[in-house]
Amino acid sequence: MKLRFPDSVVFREEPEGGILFDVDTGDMRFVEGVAVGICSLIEGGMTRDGILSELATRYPAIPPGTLETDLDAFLDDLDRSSMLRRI
Amino acid sequence: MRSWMTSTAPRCSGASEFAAPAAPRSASLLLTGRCNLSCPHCTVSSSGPLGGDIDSAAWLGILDTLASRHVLHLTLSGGEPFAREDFPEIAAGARARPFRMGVNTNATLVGRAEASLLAGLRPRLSRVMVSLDGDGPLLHDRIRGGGAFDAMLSGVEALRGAGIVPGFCCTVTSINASRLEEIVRLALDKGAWVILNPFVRSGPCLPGELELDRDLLRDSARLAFDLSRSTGGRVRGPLVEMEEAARAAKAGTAPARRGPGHSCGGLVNSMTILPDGSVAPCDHMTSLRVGSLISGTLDQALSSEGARRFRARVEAPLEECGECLGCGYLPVCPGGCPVIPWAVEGPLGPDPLSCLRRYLDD
Repeated sequence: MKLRFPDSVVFREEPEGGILFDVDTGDMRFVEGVAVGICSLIEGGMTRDGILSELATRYPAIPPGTLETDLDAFLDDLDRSSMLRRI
Repeated sequence: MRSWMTSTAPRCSGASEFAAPAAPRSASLLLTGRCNLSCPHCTVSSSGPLGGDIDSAAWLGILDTLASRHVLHLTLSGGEPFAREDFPEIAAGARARPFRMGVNTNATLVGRAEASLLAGLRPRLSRVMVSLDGDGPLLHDRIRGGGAFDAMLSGVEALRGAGIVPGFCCTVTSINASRLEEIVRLALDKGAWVILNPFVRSGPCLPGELELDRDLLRDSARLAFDLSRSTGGRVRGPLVEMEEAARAAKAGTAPARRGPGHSCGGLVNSMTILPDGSVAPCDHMTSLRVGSLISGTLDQALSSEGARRFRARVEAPLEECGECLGCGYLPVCPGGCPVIPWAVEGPLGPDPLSCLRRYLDD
């Protein structure tokens, strides 16, 4: 499943974290830590499975089930905020 | 979200690192230095003419640059943006890229077509701000020139006819401070909100007689604060904030100072692009050009020696200034705008328009 930000949503990284900003509504969401990297991977065109694989490589100490559950929770949260599209 | 998700390291591979300075979140685009009015307090001409306008193709290239660096918000301004015949092309170019936008105008050139153009920028158009300096033609036209008041009102009606309720911006000077309440009433009758800015003598080309002396500043700020409270926050801006800061300082509830120096976000949170494509810290500092988006890149401008010197000077501890050393308000000093003390050599002094000691002490 491909993931992408809607055309109206801009993701930008800053020294303290990242921002998702909807230029149509003015809604803004701050993300931090690994979530910044996940957003960057979404922007780079990576699929949900690709991101999960990347996280598993980066965080070998985290049980795979936990990675998957937490990633999906984050993606669902973005989806509910209209800041993510699944294609 | 679990704790591992909010840890800061390591980042996923593919996440970009900060090889270049992050671009400011917002940019003010002074699309032209030309204006059909010639107001004596106009800050963009504070240091003389701004230079020639680049063409619309160059502006579209700049918009591409800003979009690629994920700038979030643009203010399309001038001069008077509608003084450019190709403003519709530039505005449409901004609308086609991922920006949220505001437009600053004197509204005197706004008719049905111009209002319709602005309406077409929605939903990305977050605000239209109209300049207002008087509560009637006598005062407004004294500052802005004959016929400006009626033309402005006509423009505002055109905006409202297109479904846009504008906000207003009033530069409070020694000329109009005595009519501040009436100006606010008019602004809130015709628009959604009004921002009250004290006149800032930001350059040698601006007349000193427009400045608010301390008593007039205090009276204006107190009135602005009261009007803000009584209108549910529809009156905003530095004058309201000045009185808020003063009351908090007196009550001992002021927040601690957040940074070491002046509270200027120039070249970090925001920047101004001048009509010739030059980059400046803000609309008030048009003579301080740190680079060009025509002859150079945004990264070159933001990492230039001029930009570095600017940030170093505004971020220097206030204690380095002899006038601030030992001030009892230093722990809660909001810092203030550097534009007025900038002209004086050495460590930056206090901003006279936000200095608590100047404001509070007799």
